[in-house]
Amino acid sequence: MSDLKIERRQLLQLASASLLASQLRLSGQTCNNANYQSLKEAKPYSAQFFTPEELTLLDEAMEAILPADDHSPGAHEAQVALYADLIVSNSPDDVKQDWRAGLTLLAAELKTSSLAQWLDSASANEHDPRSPLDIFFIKLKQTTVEGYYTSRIGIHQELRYIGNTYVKEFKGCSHEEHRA
Amino acid sequence: MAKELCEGGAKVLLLEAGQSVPPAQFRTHCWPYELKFRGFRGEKQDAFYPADLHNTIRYETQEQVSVDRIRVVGGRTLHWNAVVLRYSRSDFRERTLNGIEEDWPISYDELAPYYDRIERMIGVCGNDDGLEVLPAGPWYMPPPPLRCSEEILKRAIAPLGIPVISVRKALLTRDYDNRPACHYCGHCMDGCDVSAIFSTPSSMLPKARKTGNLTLRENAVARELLVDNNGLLRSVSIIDRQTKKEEEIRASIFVVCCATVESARLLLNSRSPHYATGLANSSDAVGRYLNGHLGDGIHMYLKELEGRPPENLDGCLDHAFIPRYNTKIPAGAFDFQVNFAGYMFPHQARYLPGYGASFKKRVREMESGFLHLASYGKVAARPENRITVDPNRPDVYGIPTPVVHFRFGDLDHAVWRESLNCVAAMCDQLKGTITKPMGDRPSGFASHEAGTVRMGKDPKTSVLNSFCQSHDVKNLFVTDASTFTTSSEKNPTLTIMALSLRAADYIRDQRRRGDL
Repeated sequence: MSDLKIERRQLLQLASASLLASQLRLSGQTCNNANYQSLKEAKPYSAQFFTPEELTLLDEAMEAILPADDHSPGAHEAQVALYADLIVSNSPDDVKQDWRAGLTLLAAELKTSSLAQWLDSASANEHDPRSPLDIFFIKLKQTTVEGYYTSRIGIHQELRYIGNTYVKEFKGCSHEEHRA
Repeated sequence: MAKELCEGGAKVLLLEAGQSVPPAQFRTHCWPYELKFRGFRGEKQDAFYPADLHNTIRYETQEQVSVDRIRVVGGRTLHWNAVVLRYSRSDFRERTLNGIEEDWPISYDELAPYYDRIERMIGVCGNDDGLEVLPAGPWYMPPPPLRCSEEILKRAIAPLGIPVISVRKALLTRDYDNRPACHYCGHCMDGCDVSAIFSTPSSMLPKARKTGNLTLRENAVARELLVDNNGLLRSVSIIDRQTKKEEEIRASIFVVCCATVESARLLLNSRSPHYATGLANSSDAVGRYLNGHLGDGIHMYLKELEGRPPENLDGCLDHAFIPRYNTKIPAGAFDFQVNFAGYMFPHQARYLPGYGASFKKRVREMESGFLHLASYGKVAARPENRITVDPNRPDVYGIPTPVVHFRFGDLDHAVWRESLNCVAAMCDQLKGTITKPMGDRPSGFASHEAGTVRMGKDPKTSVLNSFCQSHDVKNLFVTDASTFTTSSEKNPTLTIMALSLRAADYIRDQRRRGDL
């Protein structure tokens, strides 16, 4: 991978990060496939399903699930809410209704509770959800995880993943203490 | 098969329902954010799974089973992990040795020369580990070295008597036969862009073309096979996917290799006064004895490796393998493939509880400790598990679609339970965190379905003889995993290819003698 490509990707990350909750730019290709490379010039993604109010709430909740820290930006900068919009807008009607209903419930909940209080409560019941809002949390978290860890920020800045490239020789384990 | 017949001087027309997809169009090396749905929501390579294939199979079962229905020149050789394992002597003799199922009409010793030939032809890396349960050939390339997690696994479970060996894969670890060595990008399952992994289009078709005897016709969907007045095959009726026109193509010998579901579907859809219940089906075995691997996987994070700085662990997916070691019959018929889940996505994030900065930090810390174990277990071949066709639900070409009827049986559940016990024992030896345990019921078929056009000695209970030739229709051969009399815990592809080579030799020999 050339330095030029890295610089270009970083520039694009900065560019896309500034679009926050309104547009998602799909660019910076490195794969072989000419079809996917045609996405290079794709127009920025605009929300197709969620209303601006819903998108704002979604973005806030997702950022709370995977927040920015001193290691890397969070779900907000990775534009995970727009990933959720892409997925939901391409889903059947019952899925869309579930998301809308979940966000409506969450908005109502937050009139009497803080986001942190709700997340504490819902995550405590993660393995034994007791209410529609508990179930919504699971869906929200899974989508946040999917969207974040498949984003440029999640892969390159948070995980600092260094694979998906050509390697002349795979070295394997060189630590005596790990061997039989 | 096509290459062998072409090299033997036969004129071969290869009919393929899909079309060619050049390596430049594979999804290889793509990042998730370059894919519309990031590879989730069932997003596949569109070129391998065209729209006319969607919703053309029905599962009449409560079990968690599915079939990968790829439609492309090269078929599943463009979408496989290339694990190639020889069946053992006992795998061919279940009835004699264990009192279950049936014996194959062929022995290991009869097939061994073809295993030798095919391994050399496709290029296999691995070792001869001296295991009776996993016979080895005379020629392998060096295997990829083990990662730290695999060395730790080997060390930890050795006291249990469970071996960890290097995997055997149809993957080049050095340049061979005009194909380059693997570059360890970890995208094996997306179609290898340089053909370091064996695929039919990159390795076999060029050789077949070189003879001048091959004609490849793409986009040809087989509707049915047609017979003459003597009950011999005379032609195949195809529909051209592009023109939508139907044609009849004549030939002297027909070799069906559409994979387990589609081969049975084609024979069952080929009804005539001669063969009222389907072609070559006097035994009523066509479609029956459907089986395929059962299995599941665990994700574990080794404490010894957690918190280490990121390193490139991609490799060629699984480098290590746990062969069958459990001698219980039949419950011990399982093995484990290791670390083929990939390293780009942090799987633990799906399963860890919590949220926020501490959750994010924990995901990051655990990533370097990832260890993935996936069990592959034997499923018994039973007649009630079968493929039928539904004329009331035709596909877009008017061809009745297949229906899968399947239930795991007592033997299968015994294998499943024993594999769970084994995983528990291994995990006890390993210090780590399990984020994804095995499920509470088996799933299948892991794209390893088999058995619907099985071979056997008795024409009353089987469809094919040991040369993959129909008992009923002399000029019909079937050469995919549907031919398997029984399955073992081992992946089927190498045995499919060895049987095909043997069938090709037989066809050439019979043609020379004038018997075919």
